[in-house]
Amino acid sequence: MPLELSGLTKTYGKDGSGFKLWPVDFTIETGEFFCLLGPSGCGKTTVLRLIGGFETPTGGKITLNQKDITRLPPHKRNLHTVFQRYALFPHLSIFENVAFSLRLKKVGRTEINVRVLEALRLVQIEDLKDRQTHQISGGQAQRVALARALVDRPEVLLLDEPLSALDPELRVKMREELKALCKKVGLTFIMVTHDQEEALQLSDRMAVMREGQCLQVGTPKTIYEDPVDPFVARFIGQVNEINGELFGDSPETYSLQSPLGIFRVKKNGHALTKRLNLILRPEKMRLLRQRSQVQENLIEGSICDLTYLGSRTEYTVKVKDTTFKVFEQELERLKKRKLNVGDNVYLTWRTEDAILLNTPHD
Amino acid sequence: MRRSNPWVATVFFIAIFLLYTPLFYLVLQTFLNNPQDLNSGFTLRWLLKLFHSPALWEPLMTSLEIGVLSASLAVTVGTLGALGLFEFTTLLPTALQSLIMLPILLPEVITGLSLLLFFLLLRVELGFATVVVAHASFSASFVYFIMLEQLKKLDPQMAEAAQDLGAKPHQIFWKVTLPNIVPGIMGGWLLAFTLSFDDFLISFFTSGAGLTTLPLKIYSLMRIGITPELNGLSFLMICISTFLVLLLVSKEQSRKWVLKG
Amino acid sequence: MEPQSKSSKPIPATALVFIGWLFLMTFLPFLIILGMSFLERTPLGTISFHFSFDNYLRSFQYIYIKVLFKTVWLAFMATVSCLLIGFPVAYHLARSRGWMKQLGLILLFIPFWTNFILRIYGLVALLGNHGLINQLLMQLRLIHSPLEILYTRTGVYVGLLYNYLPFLVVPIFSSLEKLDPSLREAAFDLGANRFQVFWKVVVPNIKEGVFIGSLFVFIPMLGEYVIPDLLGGAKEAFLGNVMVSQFFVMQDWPFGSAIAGILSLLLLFTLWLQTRWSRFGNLKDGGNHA
Repeated sequence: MPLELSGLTKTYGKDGSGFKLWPVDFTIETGEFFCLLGPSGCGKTTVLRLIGGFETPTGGKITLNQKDITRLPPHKRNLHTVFQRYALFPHLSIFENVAFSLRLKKVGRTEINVRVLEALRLVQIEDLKDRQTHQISGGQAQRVALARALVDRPEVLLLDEPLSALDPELRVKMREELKALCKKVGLTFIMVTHDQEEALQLSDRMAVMREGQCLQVGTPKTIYEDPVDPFVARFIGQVNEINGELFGDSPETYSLQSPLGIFRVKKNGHALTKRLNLILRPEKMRLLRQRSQVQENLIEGSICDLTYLGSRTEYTVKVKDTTFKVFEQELERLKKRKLNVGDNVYLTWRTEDAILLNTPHD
Repeated sequence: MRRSNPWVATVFFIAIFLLYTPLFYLVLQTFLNNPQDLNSGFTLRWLLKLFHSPALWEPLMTSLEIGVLSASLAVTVGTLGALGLFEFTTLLPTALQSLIMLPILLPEVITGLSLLLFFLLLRVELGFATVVVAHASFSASFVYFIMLEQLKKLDPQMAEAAQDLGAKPHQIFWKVTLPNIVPGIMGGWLLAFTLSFDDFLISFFTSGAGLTTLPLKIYSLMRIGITPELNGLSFLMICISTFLVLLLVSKEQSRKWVLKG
Repeated sequence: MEPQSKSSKPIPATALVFIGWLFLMTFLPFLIILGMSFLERTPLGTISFHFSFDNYLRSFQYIYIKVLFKTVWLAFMATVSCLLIGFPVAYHLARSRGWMKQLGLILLFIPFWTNFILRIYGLVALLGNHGLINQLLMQLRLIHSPLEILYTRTGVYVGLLYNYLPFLVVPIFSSLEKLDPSLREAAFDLGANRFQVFWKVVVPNIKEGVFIGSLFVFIPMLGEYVIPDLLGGAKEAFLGNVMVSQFFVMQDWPFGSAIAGILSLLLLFTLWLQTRWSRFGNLKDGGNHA
């Protein structure tokens, strides 16, 4: 019973001068934890509000279980939103906040009692039911907002940056709970976030957005290891980039010519144009003290900075005008560092670890 | 660091002392045999006489009635305005903003006279109704600004949350918005009531011959000269206002204690 | 974060009730009085619908110009005095802590919960020939005949000062409260002495709030009627008093309306000065940040 967005667009401003959401197409499966990720102003909240029914799309269609819900008001869509600042009703107790939608539906008193307590138990705040909204902490308010949205048994839960108002420690704890909650109740969770780490940890799949466009949809692993756009690669994790031009084409590999040399990259089926970006993840590069037997994918530079971070050491290596980040895992407790600032080193990587992408036209 | 300069403190205490002198003197006069003479000995005569003078009780009731009605009218109109314009406050044309500020900026003497001319042109008989309407005409703008402040404090997502949970527009208003702006409504009502109860000039112009509010009565007694009853009345009103302030403060304090505890 | 489509919504009907009310009950009456100022009074005392500027030309006579200048001058002097007294009062309040601050604010406002006319009555009783001040001074044999305070310019001045002081203390107080205390500490830390901290840090940061507060005292003083009437007597009339006597004593409504027009122009001019001043201030600020 999936939620499908097809060709969904939204334009603000009468003359089209305002923000524009380009057609968005993706399907979210039932029970999936789906994240909309992107920097502020990328349109992720707009997509959420379109699904939630707080905005009307300019074009396109939203269907939930094959039922067209594009123009239905929010409460007829069988989905609920958890707002960024929770939007609890300050004049009502915690119990009454959760009971709000049931009271509107004129559900019987005993049933309300049972269902509200059940929802509060689900988010582990049963004992707070008689408190007022100003007597609880941020994390507890978050749970109330979740219970209030879940009590009505919707099919989909929309979360608008739900963790951004919490302090860092609590945020990490709530991530785990959110994930567990999603699996426990078996609902579809759609969450908006600008925090890539949060998205990686929580999502089954995610969509990366930028300037009103959905760039890529996929599992965290796909997004990280096989990005389709340099922006996606840069937004999730760290990257080293080499700009160059398509030089050669053999059955297995492409060659890239760049100021740093000629590199071979394994073919992956993307259609390529002339101007290209070679993307390398820092943890997939290796540092060598001496020139090895390997002749390809090798560049010479010097270490200009290093930072020890416990589990790994981060090296900054300067090669001509380009700097590279290289992460080296600290695998042995008593190992002495062999490399120091100023040392001459060689950088290398395995051909299949490099990603070749088209340079965007901006 | 936080200690105030002794000169500054002195000015403060002298200023406070001077603010109270006229009021204390009125209270003192109430208990003097001859209010004009400090050495004439004390009496309760004047205070007792006050309770037997219907000439003062009737205006008091009139003032209270006018205050209640005009405050209710002003709160209704001002709240409707704030609810309607809240989302547009940054987009309001200057003309409309000036119109809202006009009753606050216009000197009372002009407001009063222009309302008098207006009522005369419309051939409305001056009296109770004209005073109520006149008071509400200027206090509605004050209520409007209080309500705007109150609405700003509301979480804008709250209405959307209610909509999301299935509330229809009228349910959003009655079940979510209204309960959360009650403090503003009460504050606005109290302010409008105080403005009306305190008002002299606008009542002076719009009340006609038959109607006397308390400030109007005090004014006419003052024209005659110093009267002991007036002193008695002053004493009572000072007591009432002090009591009200203390009540308000203690309520505020206890609320703070509850929140802290 | 995301753009909102608010501008497309129409203004709801509830707002129209309020706007209509303001238009009908404040703007229209104001227009009527302005319109009246361009009409003429016939010798019989009725009003003739003949458009002219005569009433405005008439107001340029010496006696009216004198009243205008006196009104502005007294209101100005009273505002400056309020500022001189109000500033230390507000400063003391802002620097005191906890319950002392609470108590100070309450003390300041209790007198203003009593009726306005009663407060004036208290002043009349205090300042009169048989009032407290004269009684005390005579008993101390400092004077032999009562000082004339009531029904003089001093009486009006005292009345203005007494009634408007708290309304200037509040804006000064809130400007001081808004001032980040670490600003002062930073200035001390950088080697400024008390006077330098005051003039170079405190004053520049609160001057706009204080200025606007002063205007909101000055403007109603210009339109004052009751204080000059009860404390000043016939000689010390303000523009408002002249206006009212034109209506009720002279029965010359058009001329009274013209005085209302002049008073309104005066207020408009003051407000215009304020917007000019604050725009100038903003420009200067912008320059500093750039």
